[in-house]
Amino acid sequence: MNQIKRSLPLILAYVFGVLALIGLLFVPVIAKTLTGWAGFLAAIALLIGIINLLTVHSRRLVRGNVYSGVLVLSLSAVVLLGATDYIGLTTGGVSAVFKHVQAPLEAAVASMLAFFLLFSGVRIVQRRPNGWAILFIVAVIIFLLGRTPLPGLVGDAFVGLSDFLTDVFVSAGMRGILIGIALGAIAVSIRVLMGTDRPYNR
Amino acid sequence: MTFSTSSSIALLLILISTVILVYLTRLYRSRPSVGLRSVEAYQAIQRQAARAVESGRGIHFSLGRGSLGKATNPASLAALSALQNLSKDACAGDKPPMVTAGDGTLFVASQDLVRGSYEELGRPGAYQSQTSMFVAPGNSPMTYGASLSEIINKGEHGSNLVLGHFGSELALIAEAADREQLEQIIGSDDLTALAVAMSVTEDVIIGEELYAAAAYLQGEPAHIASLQLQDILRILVAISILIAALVSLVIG
Repeated sequence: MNQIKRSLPLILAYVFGVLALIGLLFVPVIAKTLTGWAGFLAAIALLIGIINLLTVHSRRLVRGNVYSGVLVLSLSAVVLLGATDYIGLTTGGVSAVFKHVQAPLEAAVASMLAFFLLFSGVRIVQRRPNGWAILFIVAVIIFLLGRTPLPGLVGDAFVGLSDFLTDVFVSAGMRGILIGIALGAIAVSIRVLMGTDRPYNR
Repeated sequence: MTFSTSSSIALLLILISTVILVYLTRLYRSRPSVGLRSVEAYQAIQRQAARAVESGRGIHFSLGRGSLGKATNPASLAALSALQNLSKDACAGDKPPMVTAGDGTLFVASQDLVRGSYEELGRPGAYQSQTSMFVAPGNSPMTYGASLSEIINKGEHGSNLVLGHFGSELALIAEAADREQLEQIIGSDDLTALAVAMSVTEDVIIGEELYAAAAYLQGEPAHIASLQLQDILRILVAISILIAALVSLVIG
């Protein structure tokens, strides 16, 4: 019984992995069906995740955490709006919340990233004042000057230099990393198909 | 059924890679002592896990917001693999690790792994459901980043392991951990996230190194063979690029 319990997930993963691979390459209808099932399972997993989020924050709310209270309240309000949208009492309630609350908040947080990166850059020089840190700062200065409207030949020189660095060194480095990532992804996928990596079954 | 040249080439590449992987796995089974290039971040991961247990402060392990059902799957699988190898050590201490995920599938898988670790340690009752936490859906990256920085700011953790699929929201997470003076190890398959990581910690797992987590932390023959396979494929790609460049130079 124990053997079956251990082997069944492995067999299922192998069969569906091979089927999905063949489907993606040669039989689109199989791939479409399997990805549809995967999408359904992912939706159920998301629901489990949301229940976990609600449970954790409800416990914190009981202990007096105000932020958790805000989360529980907002989550309940959006679920309620979804329900009223569904039965026709309201129209576009959930999309209005996303448009007027979620999207502006996300944009506001994203706009702070530049400052976080600037401080991180300063800290890297303070913490590791070596050749690489100096190179980092020199590159930042060249890119900033290249994107600043400077007059005449000086401006053109920095634009040319920053474009040269972007097109040659940055592109080459990025492509190298991306090729490595793609090869690593192939190796991991084959390991999962072979049953060597089993994150679903210890 | 539709046959195309690109699909056939892809299948051929996968089949050849599988054959090489099987052959190398058998080879390394009979020759177990294989030296791996030193990756400082993987040595630091093991040190940090041990130190966090000793100090009584847990580890915060973030698995990213990549879904197991999408193209980000390999990075998420690599993160799960690292968690699988570390969670037993992390769960041995008084303070349980905190595992956060930005995707439902990843969250469910992480819960299963952590529960399994407690079962292997012979204390299934010690598992708490809050040990793994779903933080925010993957399509809201800034919400995910802000939620993690809130968790880190509580000061309950001794180290911050961030492995998986992240984007620019990593800046928020890394900044929060830096403020708390936590040791950090960051690995991602995203170039923006890697650029951010390089500016906050020396322990960065860059690109393909992320997929080597199992080889460095577990060291099974199949994992080492897969590293070798990556090297072979990389050499083939490099030769192909060189030939293509030479041909285009000659033909014009």
